[in-house]
Amino acid sequence: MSHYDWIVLCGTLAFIILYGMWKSRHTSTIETYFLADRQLPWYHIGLSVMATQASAITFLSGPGQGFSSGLGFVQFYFGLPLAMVLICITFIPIFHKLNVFTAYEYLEKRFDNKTRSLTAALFLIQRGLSTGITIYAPAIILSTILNIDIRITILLNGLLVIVYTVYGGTKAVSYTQMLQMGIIFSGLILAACMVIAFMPSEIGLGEALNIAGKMDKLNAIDTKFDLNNRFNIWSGIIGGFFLQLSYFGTDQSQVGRYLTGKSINQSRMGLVMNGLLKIPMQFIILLIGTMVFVFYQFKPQPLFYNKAEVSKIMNSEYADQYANIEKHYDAVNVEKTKAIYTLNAAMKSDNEQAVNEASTQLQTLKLKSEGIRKEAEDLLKTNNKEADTNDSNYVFLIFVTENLPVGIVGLLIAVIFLAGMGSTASGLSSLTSTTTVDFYKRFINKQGDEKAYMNFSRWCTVAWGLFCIVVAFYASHLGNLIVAVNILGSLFYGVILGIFMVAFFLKRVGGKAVFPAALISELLVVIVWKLEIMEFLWLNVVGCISVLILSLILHVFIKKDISKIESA
Amino acid sequence: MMNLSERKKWNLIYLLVISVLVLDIVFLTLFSNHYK
Repeated sequence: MSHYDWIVLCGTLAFIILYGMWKSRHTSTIETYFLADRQLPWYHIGLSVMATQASAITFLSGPGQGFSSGLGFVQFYFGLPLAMVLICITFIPIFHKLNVFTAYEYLEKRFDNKTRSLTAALFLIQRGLSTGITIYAPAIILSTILNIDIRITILLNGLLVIVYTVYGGTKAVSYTQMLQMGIIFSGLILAACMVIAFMPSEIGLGEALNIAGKMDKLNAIDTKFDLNNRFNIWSGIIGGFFLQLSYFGTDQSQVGRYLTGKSINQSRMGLVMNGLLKIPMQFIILLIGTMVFVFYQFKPQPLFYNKAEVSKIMNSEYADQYANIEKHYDAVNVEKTKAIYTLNAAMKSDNEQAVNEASTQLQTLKLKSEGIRKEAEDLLKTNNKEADTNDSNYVFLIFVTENLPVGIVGLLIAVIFLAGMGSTASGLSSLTSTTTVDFYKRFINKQGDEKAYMNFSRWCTVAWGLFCIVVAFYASHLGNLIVAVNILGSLFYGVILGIFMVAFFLKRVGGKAVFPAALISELLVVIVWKLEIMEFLWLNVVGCISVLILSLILHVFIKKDISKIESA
Repeated sequence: MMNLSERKKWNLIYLLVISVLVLDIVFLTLFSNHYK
């Protein structure tokens, strides 16, 4: 990276962090620290909600997914707009009416102490681990670019977020997120324009899309119902609906965003904005990935994008073997490029037979190059069993640093950093508010004053920040990170959502039934996941429905017991 | 409590969100089929 890129990167980060800190300089009460005095307008909430969900992982793994698997991942978000509507109708009015700080406060009012504590604890485990992963993701960038130990970059990245979150709480988080989203959108549009501009002169957007389509990268919709297919329209609408409903309705990192709204309507409009923009935004991110894929069809393509793994094997006894595979791969890619030019010419001349012939040849070469890549992956594993053979997280990063002009590289690295910082800050803020409001204020210091709670909250933010940094150290072997975060969420979200669903819709069922139902359901979800019976999105459905059914069954038994005791 | 016109307004907004989702899915289906 050049000096100018460093100036752009550091300048952007410093400006945004200082702006957030300046805006939150009068934070002295926990109402301000956790909920920004409940004074934010809808567009602030909408951008903050989007920035919280769109972590650095979105901008690293998103294009990576597009590059390796095409557009299918967009289906994952189909349940989101539906979830937004249900949350606007059900969750928001109740949370606002009860004036709660955290979503879990409501559960004590509706059920009992232990159900509130169980749900808050499940949230803390899940969010603590996920926030660790969101710190790890942008840290890969610095470690790859500067070629320094990833632990140093994790520490730098984590500590920066801790500083402004500790200082300004939710207000600092929200104000920084608003600017972050502006820069993120601009960066994405720039990246999309650049990738098209850097294609060969005869390839424009239309031709690039045609080529991506012929190479099976633009299949966005899969209508076949299959429990073991990770991304299809049904898992997206049904499983995605449950996942997004739990994430936005019961995860404090999101609930904390829209509780900052001036009114119920402002909070609702914020979520509506998210419901309208999320799918197009994700589509563009994935499309950028597929365009990067097309871009590399005309350039010498690395056999492996994770340079750390490549350097490991090149320093091993398998170096010659790897170099041979690389040569073979390059030769096939040269043939593939020729086939793509032939296909492009055939498509331009509208010659159907020539198009079919070129497509068949291209498919054969594509399979051949995939086979060679598999061979390389096996070799990496033979050399080192722990080798990270999933390099999709590195694709976009390598494209940016090796191809884009000076200044733009710095800006796009800043985009990835800012995205990571936005969701990490929301994560830390929610972990602190849940620990303070749901545990500290209830069990340890019931009669404390504002100052005591503020002090505790600030130290708590530091402690959670350090915990997440430790988790980040262990996050390097989780494969595609966006999938890892969602699997982790799916393990807990279904059960948490089930508890809230019972609270909202099964008015007669009480805490005595829902608490054991939640424990059994969590066990069931873990067993189903371990046995690999279905893809992870369905775990949300299993967890939620299991809590609903078990609560009803237990409620009937408990009611019978009470009637027996009463009649005796 | 929301008054009737307020409730109508919100129902229309929710309908808009769902309609945009349907349009997104239709667009993506046509897009995928076009570039097959």
